[in-house]
Amino acid sequence: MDRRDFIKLAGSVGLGVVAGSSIAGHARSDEAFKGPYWMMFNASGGWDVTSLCDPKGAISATELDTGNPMNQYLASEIETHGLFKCPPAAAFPGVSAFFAKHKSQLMVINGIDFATNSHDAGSRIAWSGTLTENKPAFAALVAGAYAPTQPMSFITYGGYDISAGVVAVTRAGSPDTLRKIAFPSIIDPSKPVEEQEGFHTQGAQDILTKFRDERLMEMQAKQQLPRLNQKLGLLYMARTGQNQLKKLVDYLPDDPADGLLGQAQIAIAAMRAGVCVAANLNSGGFDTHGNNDQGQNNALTNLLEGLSAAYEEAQLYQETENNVRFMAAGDFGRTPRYNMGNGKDHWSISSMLMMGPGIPNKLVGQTDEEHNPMGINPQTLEAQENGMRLTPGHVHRALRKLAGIDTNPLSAKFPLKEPEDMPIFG
Amino acid sequence: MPRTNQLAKHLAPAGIIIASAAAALGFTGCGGEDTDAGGTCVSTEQYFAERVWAPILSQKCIACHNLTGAAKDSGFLLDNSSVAGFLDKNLKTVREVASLKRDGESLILLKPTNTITHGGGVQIAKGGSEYAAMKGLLARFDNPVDCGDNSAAAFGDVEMAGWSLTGRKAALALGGRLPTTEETASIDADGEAGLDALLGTLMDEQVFYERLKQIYNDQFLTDQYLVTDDSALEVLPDAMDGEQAYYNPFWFDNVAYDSSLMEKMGARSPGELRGKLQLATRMGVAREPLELIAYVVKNNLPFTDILTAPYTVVNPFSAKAYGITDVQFTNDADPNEYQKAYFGGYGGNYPHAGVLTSPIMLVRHPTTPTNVNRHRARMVFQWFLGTDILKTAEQPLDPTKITDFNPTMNNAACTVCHAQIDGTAGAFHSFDDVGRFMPGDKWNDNMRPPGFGNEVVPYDEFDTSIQWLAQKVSQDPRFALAAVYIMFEGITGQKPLIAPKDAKAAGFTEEFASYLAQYHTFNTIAKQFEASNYNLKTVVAGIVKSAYFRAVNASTSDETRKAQLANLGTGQWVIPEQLHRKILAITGYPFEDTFNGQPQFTISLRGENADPGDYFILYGGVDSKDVTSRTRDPNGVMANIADRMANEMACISVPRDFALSQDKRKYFPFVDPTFAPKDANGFEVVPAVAAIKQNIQYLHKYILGEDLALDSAELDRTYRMFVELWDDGQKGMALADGEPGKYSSQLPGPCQVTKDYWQVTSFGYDNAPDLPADKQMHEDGDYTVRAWMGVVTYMLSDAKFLYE
Repeated sequence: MDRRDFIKLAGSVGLGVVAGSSIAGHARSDEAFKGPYWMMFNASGGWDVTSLCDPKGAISATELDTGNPMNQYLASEIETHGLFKCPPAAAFPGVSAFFAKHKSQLMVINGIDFATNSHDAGSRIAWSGTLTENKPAFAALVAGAYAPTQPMSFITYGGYDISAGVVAVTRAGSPDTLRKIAFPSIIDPSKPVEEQEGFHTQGAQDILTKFRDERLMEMQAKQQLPRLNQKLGLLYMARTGQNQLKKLVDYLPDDPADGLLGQAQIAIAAMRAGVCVAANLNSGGFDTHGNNDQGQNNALTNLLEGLSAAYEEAQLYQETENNVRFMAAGDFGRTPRYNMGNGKDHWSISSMLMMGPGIPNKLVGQTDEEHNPMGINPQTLEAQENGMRLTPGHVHRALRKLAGIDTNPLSAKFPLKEPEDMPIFG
Repeated sequence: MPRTNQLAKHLAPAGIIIASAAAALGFTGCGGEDTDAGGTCVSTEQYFAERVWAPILSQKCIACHNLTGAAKDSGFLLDNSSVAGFLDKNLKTVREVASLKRDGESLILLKPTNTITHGGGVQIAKGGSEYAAMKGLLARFDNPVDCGDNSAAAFGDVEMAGWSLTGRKAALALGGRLPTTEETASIDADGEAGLDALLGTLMDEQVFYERLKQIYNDQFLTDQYLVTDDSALEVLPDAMDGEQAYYNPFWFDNVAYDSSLMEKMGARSPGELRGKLQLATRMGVAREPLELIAYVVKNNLPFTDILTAPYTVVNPFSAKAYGITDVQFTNDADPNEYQKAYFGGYGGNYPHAGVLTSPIMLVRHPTTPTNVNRHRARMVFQWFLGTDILKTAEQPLDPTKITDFNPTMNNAACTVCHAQIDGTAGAFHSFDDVGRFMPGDKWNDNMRPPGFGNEVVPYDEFDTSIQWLAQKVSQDPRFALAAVYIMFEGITGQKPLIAPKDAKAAGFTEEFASYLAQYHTFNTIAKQFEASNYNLKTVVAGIVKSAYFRAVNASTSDETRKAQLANLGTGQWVIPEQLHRKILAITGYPFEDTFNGQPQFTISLRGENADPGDYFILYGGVDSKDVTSRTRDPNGVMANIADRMANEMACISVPRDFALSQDKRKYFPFVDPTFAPKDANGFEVVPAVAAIKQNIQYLHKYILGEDLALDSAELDRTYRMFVELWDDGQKGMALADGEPGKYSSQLPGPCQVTKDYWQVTSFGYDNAPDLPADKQMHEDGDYTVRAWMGVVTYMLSDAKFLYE
């Protein structure tokens, strides 16, 4: 297919590849995506950021003993690591260890007003920047803008992964399965190359592909119902990047780790192969309506250990070293103080964590002692009386700019309601 | 002709002219007339939706006139589009208010014009187009317009699948099989009546019930507890310290492993017996709500029974886990036999309310001390009332402004949801967080009392308020629509449309037209469903016969019209469970791991395990735990999996088909491997070419459902491909031995036919006996078998095979 046909087809399925734009160059099916890549960590259920990056301690031992404190540690015990504060290691050892280790790479954004305490809506606004339904997650948007035809452009292990048609959503499997999938015409890809046999000869395979593509294109040209027309186009686009999947095999780990690191290892392999732009990783256990501290401690430790290990894994390889941007967010925050079950309920003020190239070591946003958001000056980002509330929309506006997709037609197709450009990343 | 009228004529066939464009379309001035400018009948309901709801009520009134808005006490409350059937309900409300008059003038005109005091001031100017629209509606209230079924006119430019093709699509979608020759002949002869007969047959078959359970599991997600890693038996509450022993999920730990029991269960060892008992019990417990739905539909009971049934269903093994002893089974070793049962035995005090009181449902959708059953209530609204309650609360929330005491009772930002769900949540009060029935439970004083809508559970039904709720929900008009929504999504893979809200947004007119067409279709099916005494099979038939299932193309190239037709046609990427059945139905063999027989596209229930196949999740399936929504569009990984499937299945099935006698073949009734298209001199072998073309025609029909003429371009394309493949094969085989690129005269190893396929999968390759020599196939000296493998691969990887 020539370039003009490709762009036409991309348009028919809703992909924003524009002829002549710098993005269009990235969208060619034969070009590996070279980064920066994105890895998003979803704290499913809504994390307690006062147990993480926006700590609020009890004002006295008396309050700890007899009152209903913000948290079960004293304000005076809050630790400082570089620019950041976090709860004491005695209460949240996993959190403290994470900040001690990554204080020089991290960016923390506090006091973000999610404007909802609904799980679905919270997850949506965290990752798409809007409460409106069916808008693409940022990871999908950036994947759709840069490499919509790469076979694993947007990998998801859960969390908010709506793509709104801008890119195909891909789930990743075990290395063994992926190897088989990468070579669909080889009978047994696990055999040494010299012993491998195809279902069809290469000549036959080429003939099949030629006729199949021809028929598919003709079917699409004749199809006047938009839904069916788009579906045919999506199949063609999915096939466009098929061969790229073979590159993945060289990078797959033999024995990936369990949990988040294992997910990250597969995603990093796909990034190194140039077939992946962004990946969603998902970690649960955060909806702590009962026994908040124990639940959050476990869930945060799991999430942060995974994030830290993924960060280190990425630094091991030339393709991903300082070339992956990491971001973590939850559905929302949790209420100040405890309910009767020592749990915390839903609270619409939350935080986000980020690391990676182009992301400054910086703290943005503030909350008061009751974890209410404080207004900021949109130019300086300093706290300001009657200042502006920081929203996920502001963060996403800055994210789009950082990713270089703020002027992409896809971004225009999914506008954010916040008009302010805040210098969040510099 | 003025442009407005041209446009009106163009849109008219859809019957979906939109209010915001009404003036431009020539509606202005036609007032209470029965047709639009194009001459298409406009019913009162349609007029209301297009001319009153979309431009006026949804834009100017509902902001205050809602359950918690500034005009909440006005007696004129409107529902937004997140509520199933909102247009009908709002029309009823408007009709009631319109009947109130002062000095002969309707309140519906007096209030918004502020002729009599209106809290919202002037919203509609007297004498303007909006005023005229309202007057037009009043005229229709006096002289209602019923257009009957004008769907044929609405989709006049849409090409529908004929009844025969619809039958094939339905057979694959519902029954996982092709129609029989007799069924196809019946449809050809009787048209729609023949299709009805086929649907009736399909909906009596077991595969339909597997499909039904899958469709409802996509909602309930209770299959999370079916799989090995997350067993239902681990989460079912058993004996609690110092409390009543509820269930005995591991009852089989104490059974005597006698040989008769082993024989009955088909087990070869005590360990295997335990595994089989465990899996059968897990199936019975994990699938209880889904099996209850299947039981209700299979027995043609009112679908409302899924909520109101004062019983549940158990298999012989879950009966033991629940301690039920008064149920008779035809075969007490059959894990797929489900019978009606009562916890605690017939006459027990467990307040069964269909799926609502299934322990596994309550475990899968748990509660906490602060959630107090609100999640469960939310799901009741979503599954059984077609209403996403959270959508009513998606306006921005500012916690710093919520300072009221008990805000869920007193703050408008909270009551918008809580006023609706808290009473429903209360109706679950007798069930704890792990699903145990706790009679005598008290409800929270700081919440609304158990109830539904404006009704409160009567005092004497407090302990059994869940049964009271089930009755109320099942009697709600939204119940029927909710079932239509779920079945529609399950069968077509499309979520029901959401009404567009911003009348000023680009494309609103077309989007609303598209929405309205679907809204009317759903309402029609829902009414048929009610009229059938809630027989769910009516819903399935309604969906299959609708344009959303049958549309295959359109004759328009007009972009505006296309936008109105945006959601027609299924075009569903076949979900893995369905594709598994389709492959088996068409090729005669399953797509499975040939090493261990594990199906690749389904959850396999074997031994004590229930494990998803390797490609199940990657191909878009759900595990009901971490992956809870299906991937509906193909990606590169899925495209490759489809290719591997096509290659593997052609390899397995083509040579085996040729190895059969001609009268037993699925693929090749007209050709043999000796039928080459050219002779040794390169000249066409006319009889062979004719037979090859005839077989290609047959394969297009058999595999893809396409009726092609022998001289069609499409058939010619496939023939040309066959010849190119054959030519390539001749060229490759003609190379000298040892020359690079030399083709073998033999079939690829796994494609050769040496043993019976089913013997191999049952006993392993080494233990399966060889087939007689004349039934084996190794050689392909003419390269025709491999050329046909190419043709079958081409078709199994075709869009018409992968999409439905």
